[in-house]
Amino acid sequence: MSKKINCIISVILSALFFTGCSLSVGKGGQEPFKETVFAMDTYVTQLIYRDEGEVVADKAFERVAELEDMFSLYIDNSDISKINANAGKQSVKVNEETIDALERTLHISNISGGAYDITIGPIVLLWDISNSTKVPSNDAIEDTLKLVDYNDVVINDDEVMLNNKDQLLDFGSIGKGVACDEVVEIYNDAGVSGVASIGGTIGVVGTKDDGSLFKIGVRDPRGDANSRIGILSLKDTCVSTSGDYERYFISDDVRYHHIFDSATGYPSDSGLISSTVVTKSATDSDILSTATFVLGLDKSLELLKNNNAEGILIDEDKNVYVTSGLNGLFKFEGEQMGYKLIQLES
Amino acid sequence: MKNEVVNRKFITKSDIIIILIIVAIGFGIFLFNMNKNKEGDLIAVVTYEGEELYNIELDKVSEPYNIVINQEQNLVLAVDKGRIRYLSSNCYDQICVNSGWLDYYGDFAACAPFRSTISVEASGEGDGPDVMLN
Repeated sequence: MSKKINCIISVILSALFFTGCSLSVGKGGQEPFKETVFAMDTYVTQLIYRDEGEVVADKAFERVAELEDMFSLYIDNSDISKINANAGKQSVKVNEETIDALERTLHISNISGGAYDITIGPIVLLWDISNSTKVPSNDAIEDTLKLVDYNDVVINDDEVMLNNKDQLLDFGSIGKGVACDEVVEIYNDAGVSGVASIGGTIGVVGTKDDGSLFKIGVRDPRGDANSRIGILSLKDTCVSTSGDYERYFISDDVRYHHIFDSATGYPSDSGLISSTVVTKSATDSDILSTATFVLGLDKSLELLKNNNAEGILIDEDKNVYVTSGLNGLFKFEGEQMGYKLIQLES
Repeated sequence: MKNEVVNRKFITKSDIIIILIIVAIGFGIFLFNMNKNKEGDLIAVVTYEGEELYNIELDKVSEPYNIVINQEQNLVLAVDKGRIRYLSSNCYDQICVNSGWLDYYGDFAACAPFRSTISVEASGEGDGPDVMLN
């Protein structure tokens, strides 16, 4: 009798084995450590594989907080606040990280013909997109625009000065990139793999435990925050997005957003509504996503190529242009929302 | 004596029926799960040296293109709408190239000398991003 029961149990286990096999396909590997905290006026999400994930995440966050102390406009003693407060008066001594970031920024400003200009601060302040729904007068914009010129940033060793009174550095869009690069370095030093997301900037280190790529959702610029037009599968790279959907107001059927064209003083009107840039450095992906958004499609492709970067550029007609280096890495899902995929040749 | 024989009988007809029902149910669930996965779009998962390199949604490919996995090894993929293949390889056996086009769920090709694989899977639930780029 017991043999008979054993036999039936064996058959049942065999049947369960069949079903178990099919249910466990694609699973495996340990769950990553995941944490979201706030810093740099945005949220910082870390997803780390390996047992020491929490320790590494803490170390990374401490570093982000240190950098916030250097770059924040809202901290009086930050490097950026000191430079701005002393504009037109004197140069101020700053940290090495600030010098490095400024030098990289000025380089891209040069090669993009000023499409990215870190001295756009006075225009940002004039429009105050986050709090205002009023379009400033043309005169006010023209007057303020005179203060915008990246050539007025003077770097001497560890000191920085803005040439003219009332000029302002806007470090908001680059600080997150610098911080993301530092987090990536911490992950690499610790030998962990993971993803760090600081606002619209993401650093990817290695692959998941099962060897698969990390999946980064690319937002539908005309949908809500969780609506996406596709997924990028990435490892060991950085990615940033700039879009006209982040902060904006609509007046007389015109969308006024927060990314300004330093040539006009108005929100950029290049025909692009979103620009995603993938490259090895988060500092670069941050700067380039803004620069390409301002430059428009044609000029952006050259800028990306010259900087070993790839991109997903979406225009106002919902065409999604994907550069050739992302072939096979971008899974397009935007068809249902009226987007059209256009894969570009190299 | 007759009763003893009956008691020693290892398995009866009704036992066999029960066993067959259990096996049939189990196998049915197995097939159901397999077929459920087949309903999604075709995804080509490309690996090289143990790591996933590409995850290509084959049905969404608008123009044919090639992917160079390794220049020195001349390991190149051809990607077309709904299908993928090893286009070239410097490997000695050329099994990967001779595998031809992979265009159906479950298709698989490998270049063992250069430790690369292509498997055609189906998209399904749980295929969302790890993080959103906002």
